[in-house]
Amino acid sequence: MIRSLLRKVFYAIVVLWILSVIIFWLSKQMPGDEVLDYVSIDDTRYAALINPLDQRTSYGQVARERGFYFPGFYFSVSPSLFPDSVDLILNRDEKVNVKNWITVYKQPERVLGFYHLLLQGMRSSCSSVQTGSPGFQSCLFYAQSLATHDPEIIYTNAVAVSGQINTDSSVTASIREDLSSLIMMMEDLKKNKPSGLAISSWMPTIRWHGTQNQYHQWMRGLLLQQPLTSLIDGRNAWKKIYEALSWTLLLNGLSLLLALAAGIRIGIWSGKHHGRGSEKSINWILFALFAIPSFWLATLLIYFFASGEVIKVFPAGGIGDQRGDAGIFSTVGNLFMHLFLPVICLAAGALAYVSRQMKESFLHEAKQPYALALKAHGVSKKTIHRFHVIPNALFPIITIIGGSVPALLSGSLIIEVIFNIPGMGRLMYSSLLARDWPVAFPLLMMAAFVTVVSYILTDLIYKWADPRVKTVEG
Amino acid sequence: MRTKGIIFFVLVSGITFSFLSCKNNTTTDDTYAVNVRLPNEPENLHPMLTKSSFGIQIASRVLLPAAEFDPKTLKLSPLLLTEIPAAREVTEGPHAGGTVYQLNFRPEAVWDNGQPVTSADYLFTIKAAFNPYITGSSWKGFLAYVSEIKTDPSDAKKVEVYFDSTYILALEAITNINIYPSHVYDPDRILDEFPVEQMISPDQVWTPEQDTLLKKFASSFQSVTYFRDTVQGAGPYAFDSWTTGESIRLKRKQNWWGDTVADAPLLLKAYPDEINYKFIADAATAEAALKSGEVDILSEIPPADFVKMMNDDALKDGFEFDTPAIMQIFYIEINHRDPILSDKKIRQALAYSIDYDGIMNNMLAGLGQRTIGPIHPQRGYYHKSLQPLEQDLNKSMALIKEAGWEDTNGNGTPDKLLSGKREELIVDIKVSTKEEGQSLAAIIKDNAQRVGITVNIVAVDPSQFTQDIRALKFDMAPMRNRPLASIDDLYPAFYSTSPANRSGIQNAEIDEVITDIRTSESTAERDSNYYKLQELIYQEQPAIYLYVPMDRIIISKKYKTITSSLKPGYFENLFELRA
Repeated sequence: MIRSLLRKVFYAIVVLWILSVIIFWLSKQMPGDEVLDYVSIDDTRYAALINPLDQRTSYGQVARERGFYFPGFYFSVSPSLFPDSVDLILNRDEKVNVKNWITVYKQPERVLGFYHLLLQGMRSSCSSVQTGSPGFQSCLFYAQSLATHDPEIIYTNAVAVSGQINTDSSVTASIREDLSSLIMMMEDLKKNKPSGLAISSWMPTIRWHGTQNQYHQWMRGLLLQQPLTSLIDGRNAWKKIYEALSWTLLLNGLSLLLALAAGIRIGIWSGKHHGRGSEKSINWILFALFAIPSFWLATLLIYFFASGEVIKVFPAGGIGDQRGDAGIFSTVGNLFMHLFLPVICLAAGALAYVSRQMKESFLHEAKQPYALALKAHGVSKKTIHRFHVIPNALFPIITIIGGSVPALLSGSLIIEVIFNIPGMGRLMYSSLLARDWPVAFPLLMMAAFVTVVSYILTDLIYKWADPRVKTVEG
Repeated sequence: MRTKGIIFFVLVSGITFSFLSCKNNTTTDDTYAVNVRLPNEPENLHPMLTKSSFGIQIASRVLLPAAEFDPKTLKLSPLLLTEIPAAREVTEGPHAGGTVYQLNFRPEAVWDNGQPVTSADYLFTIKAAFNPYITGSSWKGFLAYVSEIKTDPSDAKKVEVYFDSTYILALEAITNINIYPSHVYDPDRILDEFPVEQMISPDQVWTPEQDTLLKKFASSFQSVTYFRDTVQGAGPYAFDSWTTGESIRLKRKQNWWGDTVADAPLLLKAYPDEINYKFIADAATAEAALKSGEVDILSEIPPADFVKMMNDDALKDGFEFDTPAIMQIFYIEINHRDPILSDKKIRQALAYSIDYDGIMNNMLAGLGQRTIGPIHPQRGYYHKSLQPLEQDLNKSMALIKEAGWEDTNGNGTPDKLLSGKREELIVDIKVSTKEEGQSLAAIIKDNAQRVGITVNIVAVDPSQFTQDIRALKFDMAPMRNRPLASIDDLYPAFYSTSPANRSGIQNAEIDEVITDIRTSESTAERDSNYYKLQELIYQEQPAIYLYVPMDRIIISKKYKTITSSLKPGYFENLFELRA
């Protein structure tokens, strides 16, 4: 038993670690640049007035705050053609562009020199000019060049801008000289471009980064429960999760309790009255509830009971006023009114499933030899059902409860959106959409952890409750 | 029997508790609350830093801007100022040839602690915006042209702002900003150590000690404390509570100084005692909340739903339906760097291929207005004699032919030799995965196909879409422009060397007129230049201009109020309970 448990725990740790790596890797594959999204002003009224150097400084600050100056993982694999320093470029687009320039010119170190020349040119031409002023043109050229994938376009633009600023008295001699050096360097890169590269240049090189990497920092923060700050509203991520979790636990917990309480009761009743007209009718109703999509049922419930079109009993959504100064009556009443419809909605789907399982299990147990033997001994039907058949028929419910625990914590997005409940489903969805990783990572890992643990516990409880499982598994 | 008993007990006690807890959320004898539905929760209530329009909407009731656009006249109206300052030419000194604006703060304007709103608070706000460690704010760019700010030691309510170069948005930049109380947002008085001229100078180099202080200030100013816990200003409402995922509540100040202002501007008026902003994402839930009286205002309703609700008997009696034209222009951005689209005739051919009526009827349910260019039809200088383009497939095909495109290889798509290479008439339209852009792209693709142009729809993640537009990686893309309420500055989008000129249009004549507009000395001269510019853009067709949408607002008839073209279209502080 203990060996089996240790084996399961070991597998669980391995599965969780693999999941954490996959989640981290997927987060890095998301399209777009979250730092640029944060620091950029896309409104054209302002965009024209932003000095590219200021924006670059802001980009660096935000990227550093978010820990992007570390390499992603413990090691990286890339063609040996690309020097180590390319991976340390903070700006995602620039990194891709520099790699392309190296691929085109096949002179890694000199291309890096060209990249640094662009940076230097940007610093000198953008630092002391006002946006929109004539000298701003060269500043703009450098900013756009850093964002340009094709080096030929940079060259064409450099020649054009050089021609224009030569006649502009507001441009200093050093800015002109910087641009001339850049053009000369590009011409040199083109002239000395090797016709091909040795195959070894494309051979993958593994680079070891040690523990100073983004994944390690993230896992450290997660495991040590370090304070994580949401990138969206600056709040403590654990506090946000705790708040959402409390609503989801309440909502899903109540609905699970309701589904189990009613489902078991209906299942037993259906088993006892199997084949009768009333049993068939209830079965049909339950299947209809099971078949109705939850979002539609939710909308119907709101229409009938909250909008006032038919009857106005419950509020249309939300969690009501949650200020601490409300009394106990007010708080409980408020919660009852706000959670009644969503709990019914969530329980409706599960009800059919639980009752069906319970009925089948009841019928199965009722046909077992021990039940028939008890009947033959003259034990009353009521006693057989109550003390023998029903307890045994409850075993499948353990699986249902075990399978429901992850959902208890991960939330029900659709119901939470429709009934406007700030639970885990909504938090997960909004965090992923906004790339709020300090909130999204712990949420995803928590969901994974709870799923794995609940399955281990289900297994253990099953073994404890049913000795036959113990015998087979040893 | 026992189960039935439990169910009965739970229901009865729940309902009893509910009735016991029930209190009227909306109205008592002499106070009332207005409930506003917002589709999203703002991330913070920090006007300088929020990226949410709802964040600005709510925060602006608490932290008043020095001046705001009037909902009726669409002109700047003085809120914290005594009047809108006039530009004065500087004739001597370091700013000779430039412009100066003198701002005078209202004598009545006070913070919550009774201290007056002064030039020190204005300076603090500007300095905070220029702090190099404040990231993600647009204010610094907006204020980039400010050359100097002077205060008067003998008059704490007076500020002079100097501009050395011409800047068409100068007045808006220096007045349409929310003013922060320095004693609340900088309790350690860190920014007092930094002269404003140093803060706004692009060449300023900070000592390590100064750098540490600036970082310390930025860290506090951008903290959760000022995002959602401490939100204070000189506005009519005080921040009361924020229930995450549920609502934000503002309460009217007891002794609101605006009540003492004679002939107060519209936006200084504040009628409701309480404003509750309720976050309801789902449209059907929001509609139910409106019908049940849980919310009083609904806006940003999808056009088709709005039309359906207009015909709903349950809503007709109790609600007013308003459709003011929004200050937004929807258009198709065209990248002139693309060799195919750099040809004016092809751009025109595309414009003539589009079924505009279909777009207006199917996408907007008729709730929109056609437009001819980047100037909003509500402007006084909108060129009314130019007619919006209509679909004309024959003209479109003729333009393609004129541009030298013919189907020489019989594959059904016109082709042409471009730089020695035979190219097919195929262009991409890039859209984000949001529904609206995709529907529009599908219509354009279908229409263009009818004249022989193949349009490929490239749908990308919204973040990738924004990044591709910034990096100019697109042929065509549906876009939305949000002009300022007061005036249009077309320099950013149309001037040849502007960094925000995404289309890449290079037209010396357009550049010249834009410069003329920026330096026009009279309104008549400026308007005449605007007409000229619209004609040039109409001929050049740098983009395909589609429509300006109408807002869709439903307001409870309990209230007497106004709607406007200004976002959000309604003004919750102006909701007066009908007698």
